[in-house]
Amino acid sequence: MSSGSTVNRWALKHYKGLTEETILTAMDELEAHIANTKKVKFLSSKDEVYALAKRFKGVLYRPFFKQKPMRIIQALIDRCGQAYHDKNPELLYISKRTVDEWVTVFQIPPEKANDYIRPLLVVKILEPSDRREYVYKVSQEFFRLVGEPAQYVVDVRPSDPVKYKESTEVVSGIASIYVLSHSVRISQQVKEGTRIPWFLKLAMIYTLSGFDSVNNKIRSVLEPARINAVDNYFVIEKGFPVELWRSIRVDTFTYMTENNIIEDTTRDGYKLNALWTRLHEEGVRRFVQRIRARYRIP
Amino acid sequence: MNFMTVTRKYAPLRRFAGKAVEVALEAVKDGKVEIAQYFAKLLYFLPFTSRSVEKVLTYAVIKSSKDPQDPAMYEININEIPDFDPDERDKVAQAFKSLCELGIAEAVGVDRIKLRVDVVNNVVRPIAPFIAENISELKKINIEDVPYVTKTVSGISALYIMYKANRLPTSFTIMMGLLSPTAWVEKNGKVNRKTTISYNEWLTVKRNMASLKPLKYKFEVEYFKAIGFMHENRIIIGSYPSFEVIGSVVDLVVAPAFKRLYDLRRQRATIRARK
Repeated sequence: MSSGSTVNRWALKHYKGLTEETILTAMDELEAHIANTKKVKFLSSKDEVYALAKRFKGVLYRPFFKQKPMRIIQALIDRCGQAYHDKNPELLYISKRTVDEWVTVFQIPPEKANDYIRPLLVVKILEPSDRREYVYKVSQEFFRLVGEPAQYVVDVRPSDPVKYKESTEVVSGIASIYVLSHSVRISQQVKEGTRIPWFLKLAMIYTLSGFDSVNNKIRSVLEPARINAVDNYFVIEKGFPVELWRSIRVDTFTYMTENNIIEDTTRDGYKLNALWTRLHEEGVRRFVQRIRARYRIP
Repeated sequence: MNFMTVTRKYAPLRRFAGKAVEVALEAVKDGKVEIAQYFAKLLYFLPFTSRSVEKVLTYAVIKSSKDPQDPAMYEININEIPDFDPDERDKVAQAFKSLCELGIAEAVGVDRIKLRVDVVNNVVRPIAPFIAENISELKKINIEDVPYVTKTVSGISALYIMYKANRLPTSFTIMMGLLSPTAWVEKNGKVNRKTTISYNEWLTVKRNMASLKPLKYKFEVEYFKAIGFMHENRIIIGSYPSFEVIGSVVDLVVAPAFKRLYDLRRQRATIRARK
């Protein structure tokens, strides 16, 4: 098989726009189903959205954030869960005392406290408080998405270890998509380099490279030929350093197997998760739509 | 046509499960061998086979897949099967007899049976390369692959026995019923599929099946077995906030089985209309 037919060159060329659009699609889908604020829907139910979110579990624990902001995020998620469980919106407000407590317990140097909190404001997990007695507030958008699954993390019942484990996965996935999509939006406005970490981006590129423009579907089996073609494109044609590429590749495959994106090994290659490929198909569709609108192609 | 059509009455449910077996076997024949592993160890649940049948069949399959071209390899003798003591020969003889009754093998002499040609074509050929690569070649060490092969062999033999005997364990029927919300057929014959089953759908399906007459008295036990089977074989990979089913099973078993059932109904409707 020639490399032309195994891999979609167009998708490789536009990988940046496509991956960004896919992340935004995932976020819109979350908002549409969980918070009921958007209309775009390609998945049929909330269950599918939660299952999709699981595919993004643990993205934030990787190089995206440093350890200390990560701890603050986890504390915030716990707070959201409790607020949802007790139906107490007061808990979403954060006072100066809580911030001071973060500084002491997470061992943040007091003069750098702002450096740790600012990223959370940038990705809109926190926002300035509208009440005078508090400093910050967990953004309503974040609370709506995370609150419901996070309540199970707070309210642990000893008989349900499976539920506990999986609800943490869902929460982690939603938080990841949330942060990713906001950082993509910001980078599109400011024209900085995008903030999708490479291990995730490469997993998406592997998927996108199987896009078939005839029937607008993505081949759900990731063939070794396709993997090689993508690697060749980046290393030989784009001139990525080989050693860097090796490390990214290993990271990508670890991520894909851990998060059940690769479900199965078949004789032809790796079988990809259906929700994951559907997300990418939708991402491609929206990307094409956007380009058409920009160049006014009917 | 959706899961309600299948689970509200026993006859469609049983037919659906039967179609699922057919479809899975055909997928194996087409070279999608990976599907078989999800049905591994199902043989234990078959009410009409003993453990000895599994041992004998596994041995026969592995032996004949060493060289599928050589007809001499299809024959097995009562004395050559490992793991049976000499005083257990009656067990082996019993297994031989039931294999012959199932139409999987034919007797070629006293204490000798031979796998039938269609078994070799359907079961042995698809998995022969795996066995040759992973077990027979002594140079290769790949611990990861061996459980895969054993699971595959076990799954294919279970499927084939169910297909040949045309009998299904109740837990398998219930399992297919539980998996049925993952696909549905529209009026124009288009098959839709998804990989999640919500709690409501699960409860509806369970309630429907629990009230079916043939299942009524044994439902609880068989449901329990079905769940255990699905978790053990990784058919279900997540259970919160909804059940998540592995994509291969949906694509290769549930959805095509629905399509078959739909086509069958269409055929019958047209025949009835012509009369």
